[in-house]
Order: sequence, then structure tokens, then C-alpha cells
Amino acid sequence: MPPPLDEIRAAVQARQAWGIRALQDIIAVDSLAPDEEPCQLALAERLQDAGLPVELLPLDDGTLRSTNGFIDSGLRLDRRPNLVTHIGRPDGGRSLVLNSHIDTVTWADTADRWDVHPLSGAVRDGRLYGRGAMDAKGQVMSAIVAVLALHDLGYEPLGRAIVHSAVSEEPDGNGTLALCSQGWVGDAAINLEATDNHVAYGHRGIIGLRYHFEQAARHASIRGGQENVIVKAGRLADALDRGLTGWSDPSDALYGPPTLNVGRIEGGDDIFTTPHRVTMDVGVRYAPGTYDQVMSALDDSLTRDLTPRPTETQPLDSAIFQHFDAASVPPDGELAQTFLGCANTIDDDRRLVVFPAGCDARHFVNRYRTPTLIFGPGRLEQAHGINEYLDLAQWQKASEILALFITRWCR
Amino acid sequence: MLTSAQQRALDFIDQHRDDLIAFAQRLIATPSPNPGGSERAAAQVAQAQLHALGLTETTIEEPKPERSNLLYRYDSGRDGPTLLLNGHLDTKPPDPLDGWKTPPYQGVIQDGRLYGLGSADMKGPDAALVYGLAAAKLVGLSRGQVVLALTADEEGPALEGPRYLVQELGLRADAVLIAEPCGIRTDWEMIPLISRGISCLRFTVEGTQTHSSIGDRIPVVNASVEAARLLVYLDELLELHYPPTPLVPTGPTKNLGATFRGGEGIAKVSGHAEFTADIRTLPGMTREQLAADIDSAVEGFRRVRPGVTVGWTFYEGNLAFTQPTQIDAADPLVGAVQQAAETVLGAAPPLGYFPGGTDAIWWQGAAGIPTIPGFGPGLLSNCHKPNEYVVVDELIRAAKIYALTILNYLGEA
Repeated sequence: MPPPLDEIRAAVQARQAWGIRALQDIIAVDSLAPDEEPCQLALAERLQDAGLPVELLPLDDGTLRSTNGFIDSGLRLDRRPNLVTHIGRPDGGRSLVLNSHIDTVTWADTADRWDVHPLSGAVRDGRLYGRGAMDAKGQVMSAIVAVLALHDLGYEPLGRAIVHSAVSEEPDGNGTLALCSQGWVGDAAINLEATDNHVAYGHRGIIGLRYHFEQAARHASIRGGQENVIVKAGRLADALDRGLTGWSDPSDALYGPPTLNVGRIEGGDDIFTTPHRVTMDVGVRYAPGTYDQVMSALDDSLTRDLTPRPTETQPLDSAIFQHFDAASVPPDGELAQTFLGCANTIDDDRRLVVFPAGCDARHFVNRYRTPTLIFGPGRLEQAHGINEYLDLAQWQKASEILALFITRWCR
Repeated sequence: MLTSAQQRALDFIDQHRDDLIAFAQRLIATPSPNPGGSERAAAQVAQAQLHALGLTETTIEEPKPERSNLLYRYDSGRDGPTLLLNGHLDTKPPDPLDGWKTPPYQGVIQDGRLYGLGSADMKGPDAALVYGLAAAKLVGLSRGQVVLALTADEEGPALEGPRYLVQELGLRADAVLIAEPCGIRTDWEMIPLISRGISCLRFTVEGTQTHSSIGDRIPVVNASVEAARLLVYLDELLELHYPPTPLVPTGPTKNLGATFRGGEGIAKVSGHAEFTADIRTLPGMTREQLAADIDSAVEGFRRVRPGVTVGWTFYEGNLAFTQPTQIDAADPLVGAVQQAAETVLGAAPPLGYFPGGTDAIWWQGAAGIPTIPGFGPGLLSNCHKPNEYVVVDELIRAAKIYALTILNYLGEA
């Protein structure tokens, strides 16, 4: 019999002090990809001390590069272990994966603008500050506290509850892909990312489009008939930023219409030569199931609707240079509804939402048939920013929700 | 009708046609890329050639080691004006190397053209100046002096060449002829009286750097997009005030968006973007007026895109604003060149403007010497890129034009 709710909550609360110290310990160890190994080893030590089994698994078992979904971001693949811990019986009931990542984005370039050192894990007014506090070392630790609390209660779920501390989420998502391809999947998964403890049943995808503009370079002093290619790219950037014209949104309204983010624009080498080449990278975020429609709307827009002067914005070519696919599970299915029930048992007014960014849930859903929700404390606006923090009260609630859900799912 | 003295000068050049070409080839074979090289070896090659032609009163002036300016002065011994002939010894670097069909540092003749780095810009014209001067000296001058200045650093910051000679050595003359190529589509397209100035500008836009997945959920400013909008706005609406200049009917050239850098990738809303612009100014334009014109356009942009943080500055140093120059059409040098060109080419090219910047900014802009900024063989449109060439016959005609220009300006003995 699973423990009653008040015992679960008490056990989580009893693990909070340990969890905060362990989180501070792993925030102190920088883990910018591809250098996650020292941080994973520090985490392994904490877990072993707490009596949990730990498996360190190679990112590349020799098959990663040929695995569907692999993205080559140019980073090395060796000395980058994924970490797995688990409770419960291997085959007694439904299994559940709690997945998050140990790698972070950079902090050194903005360290002087933080109120505390980004690796300090300092606690102030109920918040724990540091790079990765929320994205996503705090998420990893939230899952660990949940399974550890159940472990402390002597409760062993009928199905396994597996925690992933994956590498390489930020650059390419290959860490979770490797765990999935090595068989560390389950009957369902929770991908821990900041949703403010709401329950996201899907996430948008992002298509990276690269536009090239070219013309023959010439000495800047000579006037020519052609328009400067940077101005030409500028007209397209302006038009793209205003959004796709004529988009009718057939998809789930929560996702909203596709968004175009003109990210990088780069061109011209020398002030005395007219630019001969411009590259413009545009990120297109789209809802699950709308990829084809979005691509065709983009094509139409480029040739027809985007501008009153299409010849002045027409790029030489465009190509998809990156694609993180979108993923979704049914919001009215058992997984989402059961989890939402747990969330509302612990916290107030938790809702079904969608996650606006790309995340590792796509691997579970699209390639490994593991229905996956996205859930975790914190707000996405905070991610990758200065003074990243974790609200400790919300964090504790997240662990309680996860622990409660394990008792309801893994049976 | 040519005078017998003029005929002798032209004959000298015809007789030395092969020597002139070989000299130009030796200069091409003596690398002097800027940046990354030195003019010293090229100055020594030119000095040796002058000495071989009996022009021995040479000096090499170096403001810094390896940055060499070769000077030669011929004094008729009688009072009169001083004419200064100027070419530069440095070249752009040869990049991209794989674009060359012949080795850049080898003067290769094919189909009547001399190929090689600097063949037109301007080691070929340098050789023509030397032989034109040798021919004029052979005939003798009735008055005044001729100074030949083969100088450094035209392709770089332009600090170690004519700037040094006029500002630090106090070199002066009554008129300067620079032998830069003056063709864009055809050789000898014009006699430029104006050398446009250069003003380099940098525009910056600041945005809200954040995760792009929430760009549609909270208010953000995308710096890349707003900089692109500013660029398009300026392209359409930047109005420059300048005095009417009939020789330049198209006005100043605006190269807005010479370079552009913005944003980091598709996952971030761009937090910073900047682009550069290059304005080719006309005589009568001032830095203050240009600044006011740009301020006014940027202010207009701020009104249509409130909330966007926009700034602009002039470049630091030289490139902020170099003075445009203009020689009077009535200056004796202009007449001397027109007459020489008519004799050699059959008709004098029309008066015009030199589209790019030249060392006229120092000779005329800084020292006040009336300067023709570029009258030489070759096409500007072939310079600063692989497979630069000059037509060999035009090189020979150039030497003749220079010889006659000297004789016309100072009088034959």
C-alpha cells in the first residue's frame, strides 16, 4: 500500500535540508557542456551517501551518431556520463521516468552583474540563487528528493521510478536521446523544466532557417544599380518579424500562432567593400502537428505575401539548418489528468498548459513512444538569465507532487 | 602639332617600351601588401630604376622602419612652380588567393594586358610616372621643379605616406597629379577634379536579450530586427544636405550597411546589433552638417519605433570624416593634363570626380596643394580583387601623357 499523503509530504519536508545542501554542492561544480562529468560525479557521491543506486552511462555507446534525433553540435561525446538512479521493482507495474538535465548555459560572461556568485547557491528570502538553480539542477534535485522521500518511507513502488540526470540538453538534447536509445525509457515520463508547477502536455518545436543573400562585391565608392544585400536582408527581417500573413490557426489555441525570431544577421567584411553576402538565421516556433503547414505558409509568404516588393527581399536560398521537433500528448488522457490531479492536491490552481520552448520531451514522445509531460518549479522567463533562482517553497511542492504521482502511477 | 621636344620625349618612351614594362613587372614581383607588408623593397627597386635612368637625386624617407617613401626632385635651375607627381608603392593583400588565374606577384602579359597585384593600382602607373619624368628630363624644362613621390600606406590608414611628407617633412608643391586609375568602365574615362571624402559611421541598437520561446509572451525588443528596420529607414529617408556639385550629379554615395552584426542564434531574442555605413562626401559638406542630417533621420526613426534604444557614432580617428577636395578647373595643371591627354588620346576626357578616397586628402586637404586625385591607366572596378590588370598600351600612353603634362606645365627648355 502506498503511504498516505501526509506521510509523503512529511518525508519530502524532512529531506529538504539535505536537498538544499546537495543542490548547493552540484551548483558549485560548473557543468557547461561538454564538461558535465565533474558535476555528475559530485551528484553520484551524494546519491550513494543517501543509499540510492547510481549508474553512470556513457553518452555515446558507439551508436549515438546514427541514432534518429541526433544533432551534431560539434561537441565531443566522450567523458560525458549520463546519470541514472531509481527506486521500485523492475517489472511489477508501470514505470515512470523523471528526466532533467545537469548541463547549464554560461554564467562567466555575466558574473559581474549577479547579486551573488553564480556558483554560490546562496539562499536569500526563500530563494536559492545560482546558475542551474532552476534550469535544471534544481529540477534534477526535485526528482531526487521525491524518490528519496519514498525510499526513506521504505516504500517500494510496484513499477520503477527512474531519475535521469542527463547531459547536453542545452546544445543539442543528445544526453536524453542517448538514455532513451539505451533503453532507459518507461511507460510515461515527466520532463522537468520550469512550468511554474503547471502541467504542460506538449511543447513547441523550433525550425532554424538560414537565409543567404549574395551579390557581387565591388569597391564601395562605385555606385551600382543593385540594392545593398544587407538592406535587402533588412527588408526581409522587418517583414518576417511582423509574422506570417494569412495564418489561420487550426492548432491548439494554447500554443498560439507560429512565431518568427530573427536571431542572427551577419554580413559584410569591410567598410570599403559593398557586402556580397549576408546570412540571416530565423527561428520558427510551431505547435505540434503544424510543421508542414508552417513551412508551406513560409514559402507562400516569401514568394507572395510578405512584402509589396518581393524581388527586393528574395533571398538567394534558404535551408533548414536545425530542427528541434514539437511534441504533445492528449491533454484529456490518463497521464495528464492523473498528474494534474496530483498537482492540485498539493498546490492551488494548477492548470494544463503548453511549454513554449523546445525540450527533451520530444525524444520520449516522438521516437520512443513514451507519453511525457513537462513539469517543474520556476518560470521560463528566468531561464538563462542573470540572478537565476529557485523558489524553495515551490520546489518542495514539486517534489511532493512527483512523489505523490509515483505512488499513483507506478502500480 | 607636336614640338620637336615633345616628339623626342614621346620617342624616348616608345624606345623604352619594353624597359617600362619590365620595370612594372619588377615592381609587381616585389610584394608590398598593406596590411602585412613593407614598401621598402619596392622603393629600392624604384630607386635603382631611377638611378639607371640617370635620375640620381633620390632619397628614401621612412617615418617608421620599413614604411618607405621614395622622393626624387628635378630642378631646372630656374624659378618657377613645382609640380609633384604621386603614386603609391603599397598594394592591397592578394586575397582571395584562389581567385587568381596568374600568380599575383608576377607580372604576366596575356592578350595585351599586364596581370598582377598592383598592375593598375598602382605599380604600373608608378612605372609610367618614372618613364614620363625621365622623358621630360631628357628634353629639359624651362623653369621650376618636378618632384616624384612614390609613397607608402595608401591602402592602409594613410598615415605613413603623404601625410608624413606634408605634415612632418613640410613637403610642398604648387600642384599635385596622382596617377591612380581613373577608369570605371573604360580607360581614361575622365579627368577627376574632385576627390570625395569618406565618413565612416557605426549604428547600434540594444534589445531585450531573452529566451526566444517567450518572445511572443512578454514584450521584447529584438535588436537584430530593429537594426534592420533602422537600416531600411535610413536607406529610404536619410537626406543629406550638400552644395550642388555639377561634376557629381548623383551626389554623395551612401553605402549604408557595409557590415552588419546582430544576435547570437535562433534561441535568443537578439540583445544587441550594429551596422556600419560609409558615406562618400562632396566638397562643401561638413562633419557638423552630416551629423545633423543623421541625427535628424535617427530621431525620425525613434518617433516611428518608440521604445527602441538606438545610437550612432562616427568612427574613431581618420575615417570619421576625411575632407573632400576639389581642384579648380582653371588651375594650370588641369589645362596641362587636358592638353597632354588630347595629344596622346586624341581627345581630352571630360572633367569628373574620383569616386574613392585618395591621398588628395593630404596633398590638398591638409597641405592646400591643388591636386588631381587620379589620372592614370586602368579600371578602378578591376582593383582590390583577383586578376587585376592594366592594358599594356595604356601604360605606354600614360607615360606619354605624364611627360607632356610636365612639359606643358613647366615649359620645355
